[in-house]
Amino acid sequence: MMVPPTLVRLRVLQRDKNVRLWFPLCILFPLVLAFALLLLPFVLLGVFVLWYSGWGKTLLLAGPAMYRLFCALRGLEIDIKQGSKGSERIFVSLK
Amino acid sequence: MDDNKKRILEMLADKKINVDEAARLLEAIEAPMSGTSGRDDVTHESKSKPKYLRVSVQPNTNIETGADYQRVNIRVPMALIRAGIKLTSLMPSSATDQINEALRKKGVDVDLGKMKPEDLEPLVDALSDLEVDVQAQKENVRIYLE
Repeated sequence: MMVPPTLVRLRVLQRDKNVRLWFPLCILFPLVLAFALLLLPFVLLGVFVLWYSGWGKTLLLAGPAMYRLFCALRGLEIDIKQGSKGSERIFVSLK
Repeated sequence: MDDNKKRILEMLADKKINVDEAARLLEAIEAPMSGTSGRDDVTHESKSKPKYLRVSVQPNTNIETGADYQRVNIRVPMALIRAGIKLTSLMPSSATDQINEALRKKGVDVDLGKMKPEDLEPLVDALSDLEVDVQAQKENVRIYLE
């Protein structure tokens, strides 16, 4: 079952900057769903118009493909430290 | 029924061995069989599909104390790579032809239209034991699947 990431952690540590972000992505899901439903009629119209050019199928399947790609981001982790004693750090985690 | 077990039961029926000896022989042939299947299970578990591609860059222990260094740890879910390949199947043939032509000019002879996610599975299975370990002057680079 494809479960999208629900939490993003971001930390940027530099000499004059210290940013810590902990954001529950699940808050955005209803908004994204509402936006997708609003766009649906226009997407279907675009699919109908573009079908014979070959891009209609792409447009139709782009939404599910984007969702699959977003779900696949779950578990992504990037941790970069540099400078002496790791004084600069960029950390991104999606869970 | 296993041939060995049949032979043991036939010897018991012919009274060449008694019941205790038959029981011991049956236990003896069953023990390596269960051990083998257990080992197969362990092997199968250890060979389970890798879930992440890890890239790790660690500073060499030889670097001077206080010197600048870079430490990188990246974990990419294999599902992301599979999803990326699935995206190529959405592109219409006119677009893939142009991309293939551009790649061919750069010396990369690949057909994006024929790439399928199921083609990736044998490659991932084969690469599950792959480990790239590069030890440079200032840092060690490691790439592996886990």
